[in-house]
This record gives sequence, C-alpha cells and structure tokens, in this order.
Amino acid sequence: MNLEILTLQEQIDGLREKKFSSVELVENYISVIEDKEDLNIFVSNDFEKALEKAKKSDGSKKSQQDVPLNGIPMVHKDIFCTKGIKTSCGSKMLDNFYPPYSATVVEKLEKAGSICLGKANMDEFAMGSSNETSFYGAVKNPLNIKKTPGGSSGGSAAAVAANFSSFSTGTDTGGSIRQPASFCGIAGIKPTYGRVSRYGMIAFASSLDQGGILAKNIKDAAIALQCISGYDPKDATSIKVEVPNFSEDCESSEFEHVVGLVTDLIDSFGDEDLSKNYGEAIERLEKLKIKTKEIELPNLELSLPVYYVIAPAECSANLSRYDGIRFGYRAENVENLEDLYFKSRGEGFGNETKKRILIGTYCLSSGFYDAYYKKAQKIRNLISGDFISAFKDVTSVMLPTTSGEAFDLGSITDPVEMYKQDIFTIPANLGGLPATSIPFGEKNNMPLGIQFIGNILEESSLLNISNKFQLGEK
Amino acid sequence: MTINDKTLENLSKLSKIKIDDNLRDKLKEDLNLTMNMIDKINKVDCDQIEELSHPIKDNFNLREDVVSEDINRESLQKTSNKTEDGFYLVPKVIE
Repeated sequence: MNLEILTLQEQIDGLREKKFSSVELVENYISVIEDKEDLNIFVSNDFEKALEKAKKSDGSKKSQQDVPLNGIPMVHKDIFCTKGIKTSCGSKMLDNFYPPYSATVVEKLEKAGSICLGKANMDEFAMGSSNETSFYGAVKNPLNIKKTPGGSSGGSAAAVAANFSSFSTGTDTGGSIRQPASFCGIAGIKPTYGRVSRYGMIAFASSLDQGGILAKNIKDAAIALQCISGYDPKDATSIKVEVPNFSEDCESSEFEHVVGLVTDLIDSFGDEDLSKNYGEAIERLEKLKIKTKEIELPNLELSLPVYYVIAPAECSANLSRYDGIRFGYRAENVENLEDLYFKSRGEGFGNETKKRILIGTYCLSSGFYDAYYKKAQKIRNLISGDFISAFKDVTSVMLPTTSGEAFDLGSITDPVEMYKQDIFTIPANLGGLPATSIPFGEKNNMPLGIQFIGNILEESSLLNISNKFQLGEK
Repeated sequence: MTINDKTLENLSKLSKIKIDDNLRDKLKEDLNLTMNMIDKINKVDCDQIEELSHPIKDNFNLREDVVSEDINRESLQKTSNKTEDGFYLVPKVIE
C-alpha cells in the first residue's frame, strides 16, 4: 500500500481503523524522502526521533479529540523555531542556530500528536518567489525539476507535491503559501492576520507575516489549520476569539455564497491564457449554482509598490537583530565592534536580503519617510478599503493565484519581474484577509491556481467555498 | 538615478552591512529598478487618507506584566559561541 499518497483525512481514518500504523507511515515517508533527495526539499531531518515518536503514537491510548493528528507525519517550513533542532530560515546567518524554544505553531502541532519529519528549504528569510535565494540552493519542482516550486514556502509545497508528507506548515507575507501551492498543484491557506500565533516564527515583515498550511486539498488544510489556530498570549497581535470547527464548516451546506469577480481587471492584463482560466473558473461557479457579482478593486495594481515599501521597511527593522553577537553568524578577523557588525551582516546575509534591507532603510531614512513609508501606509488603507467595500456585497473574492505557471529556475533575473509574481496575492496580506489557493487549470503541462479571498476571521466560509470549488460538480 | 554611489554608501552605513565592491554595480541597478517601480505611489493623491499600519483594528490583548517563565541564561547563551561568565564577548570598545 502506498501510504504516502494518502490524504491527511485518509491517514487519520486509516490509523484509527488500524489499517496501518504510524511507524509504517513514517517508514514509508522516509523511503520516499531518501529516494527524492535531489529535489533539495529538506534542510534538516530527524528520522530517528520521528520513528521513536511514531512508536509512542501507535501505543497511545489518548482520544481522537485530544490528539486529532495522532501519529501523522508532517513537515515544517524552516522558519518555525524548533527547540534544539537547527532552524536556518534559509540563511547562512542562521546556519548554526539551534533555538532554545519552539514556535507556538510547532508546540500546537506536537500537542495534536503530529510528528515532524524534517524542516523544509525556503527563500532566505522568506524573501523570494522562486526558492532561489536560499543559502542551501533552490528546491526543484517535483512536477518538473527544471521549474521552480515557487516561494518562499517552496520546500513546504514541494514536500506535499512529492509525497514527503500529507501537509506542511508555511508562512505568507505577500503570497508565500499561495504562490508555491499554485506552482506545485496543491492547496494552501493563509488565514486572517492574527488567527495563528507568530511566536517563534522568524520575523520578516511583522504586519504582514502569517503562518498557514499547505496540503493536498482544502479539507486537509482545514483539519491542520484547526490545530494551529487560536489566541496566544505570547503574540500580542494574535486575536482573542474562539476558533470555529474548520473541518466541519468546510463541508457544511449552511453557508450562502456570493463570489466577487473582477473580470475586467483580469482582462486588462491582456493575457489571453490568464483570462481564459479565470473565465473557466467562473463557469465552474455557475455550474455549481453559486451566486456571483462583478466588483471593483480599483487600487489592486498599487499593491505591488506599496508592498515593496512596507515589507522591506519592516524587514530592515526586524533583521537588525542579527548583529553577530547573541546568535547567528559571527565574522572572524574583525578590527573592532563596528567591523564585527558590518562583516557579520555583510557575510551572513544573501544578496536578496541585503537588497530588501537597503530598500527598507532608504524608505525609512530621514527625508524619505513621509514620501515612501507614510504614503505607502495611506495607500494600504485605500487597498484595504476596496475589500471592505466589496465585502458589503460579496462573501469572497475570486482572483487568479498567479499570472502564470511555474517558470524555469534561473529564468528571471530582473528583480521587478520576480516581484510581479505576487501581484494577485499581496492584497490579502495588506488587508490581513484570509485567502486560499486551489489547483485549477494548467499551462504548458504545469498547474495553475485559483485564489479565494475571504473577509476577516471568515475562514469557515472561505474554506467552504474553496472546498466546493475544488470538488467541482457532483 | 535615485540611488547613486553616495546613497549606497550611506545605506550601507545605516544598515551596518558591508557591501563588496564587486556587488555594487548590480546592487545599484537592482535597487534603482525597484525604486522606479515603487515611485508609482507618488502619483496617487491620498493626502486625506489615514495611514494603516496594522491590518486588524482595535486588537489590543496586552497580558499582565508578570514573569511567566524563567529565562535560562545558560540555554539562551548557547546560541552564541563567544560568552564568558554569563556575558557576551565583543571586541574591545574602551581603551
């Protein structure tokens, strides 16, 4: 039995019905992972401990309610701190970092009974859309090894697509869960900002970063999201509200949907394939008898420049903590303290990270703060306002996840071309809105994705429409 | 050009990042391409609009200011390879 191809729900059911054991599951995965080492998905693994935990899970008498993911193997993006296990964030700066504590997301998934097989490769400090900025080299797309798996959660997406696990964790600052999910033909969800604790999740841009899930389908994503959501006193920005039952809500028939469409906006890009796929997605909604309504998002295109002020500005502040002294890379042969800072940061950060810190520093520097940072925050309000207006009439908004399919590794060298990857995904981060990506359509034999964006804290409705859309006609 | 050699030198100093000479030209080119893209925001009139710095409004969940767990100095300092008697070691700053 090829246990590695099963969905999360099938694995939960199979373990409960004792069709197979957790040890068998873990062993299966280890053999697949070892076979496909050249995809460069893992930065580190902990197979021995995983097997030990699987043995314990198999003998566990705890109830399904207490440990909903008992014995289920999974993969963490290497941005989540794991106590005593290397957490690199894809950077030379943290190549020697063994955190003294675990992220809340990691603790919650451990408590739910899941077993971490390894840490997934990613763009350095989550800055990238192709996984090519990683200190450990790019991950290859399991569907075609010449292609990028997307980024920054490229390793997490590839892990699910290559059957290294049924689900993985990821983070999304401007599309870093949804774009790789789309490129690898899987599902992904970035929940509402504040739904999932950011404690122990290495910071990139604090007002945009949000942890989430990549999985084979939306139902599985809902099950896993349930386990990582909830208020955390260790994160002052996490929201103090009850977590609904996402997996039940995902399949409920109670939800009424009106999906917002932006057909004219999509057509304005002048890309026939993009318009065609969007049109086919609308047809699917019509066949499912789901109500739709054309809406306007007049400031969508400003998302890109706004994001590239706000995210670098926040990153330049967050990454100031890497001083070469308390943790992380420390340069040798330095002349004085100042030289220690300059050399440690100059040698420890990769080029993309340096670029973003410099852009952020520029936008925050004296004389430019009002023109860039303040202005970007005002336009952020405009973009967020467009969605607030839209949600008066609709329950979700449908957009493409990306403008195209996964591109060849090494094919994009112009930074702005690379940044354009995120044009459809960034708006959800600016507004703190939950959003999913679902595989739909293909181009040049590679998958495309459709994105649904929901209102704040309306993950239940969002998962419900996403699941209906993914399942299609019955 | 928005970012010239002088600006780059200033940014390097502000952000305390040593920039290798062989990287400078490419870095300047990339930074200018990015700033050109960003400059689109200058054409938008939004003087009357308030700034949005945080996506979720009125979410203030401050916890009590009490010690919640012991901070173990030894385990925290394990992440540094240069410590002595509970202190971090840095190059001499006082002559």
